[in-house]
Amino acid sequence: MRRYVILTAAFLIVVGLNIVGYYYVSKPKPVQNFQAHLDIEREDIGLLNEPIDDLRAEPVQEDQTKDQTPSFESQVRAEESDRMTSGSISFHPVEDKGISEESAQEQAANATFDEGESAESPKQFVTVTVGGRELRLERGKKYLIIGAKWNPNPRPYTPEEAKRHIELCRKLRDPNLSGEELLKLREELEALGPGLALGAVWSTYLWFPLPGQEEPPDSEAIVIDLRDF
Amino acid sequence: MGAYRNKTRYYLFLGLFMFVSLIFITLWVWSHGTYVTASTEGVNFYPAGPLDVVDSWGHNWTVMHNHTVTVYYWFTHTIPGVGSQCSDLMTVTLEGVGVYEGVNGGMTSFWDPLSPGNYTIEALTSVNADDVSDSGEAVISVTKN
Repeated sequence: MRRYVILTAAFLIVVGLNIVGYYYVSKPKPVQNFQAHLDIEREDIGLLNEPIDDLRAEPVQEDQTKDQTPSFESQVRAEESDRMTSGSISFHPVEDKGISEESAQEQAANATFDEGESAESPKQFVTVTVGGRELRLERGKKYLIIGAKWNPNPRPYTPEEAKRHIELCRKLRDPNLSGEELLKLREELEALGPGLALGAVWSTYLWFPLPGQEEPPDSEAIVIDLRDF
Repeated sequence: MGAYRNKTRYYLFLGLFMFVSLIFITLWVWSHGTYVTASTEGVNFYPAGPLDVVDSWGHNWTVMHNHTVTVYYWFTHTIPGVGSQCSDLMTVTLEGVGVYEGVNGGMTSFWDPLSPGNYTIEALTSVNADDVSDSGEAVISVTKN
């Protein structure tokens, strides 16, 4: 009789641990609103129509002989563009620009093509999401993704905010953070505001190798420029 | 007859116990089969005309996975008490089993000029997959006159 009790207890413990284990592996991942569609333009880097005029920084321009003084953003953009050596692709959200009937038809045609393509070779492409924009990257090719973000209202922290910010920065370095906690910290930092940060430009290389493929040099990377200015 | 039933019940329980244990172990291994590392090689701070600039390089991350995982990664510049700048959140789903490395990322952030004083400048690479996370940082202390 005692044997049955022990076995039953062990069984219940294992079932309980199973439930915990299942919860651990299947709990929902942070959901991002990443469903923006893209209008892909295969053209070189160019400024978007909408200027960002709420930055407090003055243009960094010393040459007074030019007719027009480039904005701070265009300066940064030009500086970053110097690093690019290969052809670039600019991505802009469709909703920013509006969709004409022809481009809608074109997109529909592309969508059909994509479906057919993915049905034939579903693993040929990898979908990467950068700040709400989905990019379909081809395996075997190397990409350089460039993004930027500008803060509309930089301002000094209040003493309380500064104290909280120092605390958040300290927490951010904690090596025992779970993934969820790390994402929450990021959200909290963003909610606190950028402080005196005006914005940033960043870049990242992505390459999803084909079997046995050697890594292409950085100079061969296809540039995907996501900067919206 | 009773002894036969008891024996049958015993083996039934034992079999069930082993089966469920196997499922649990499989789930445990599956859920713990993700390892992530992140590092940042260096960070620099310099005034540039009317702005201050923080520049970081060598944002690297690695994910080892034994099942399909969704990886979140981003870069951050922080000056504690002054401000912080995160890159956009970048997400990629890696299928199956493997090791993936994101290498050679860089970030340049622009700041309203800081007041004279001592500052700690931090650049971080953060990566998260399967609720496992890591942040690799580069830190410098600067004195602004």
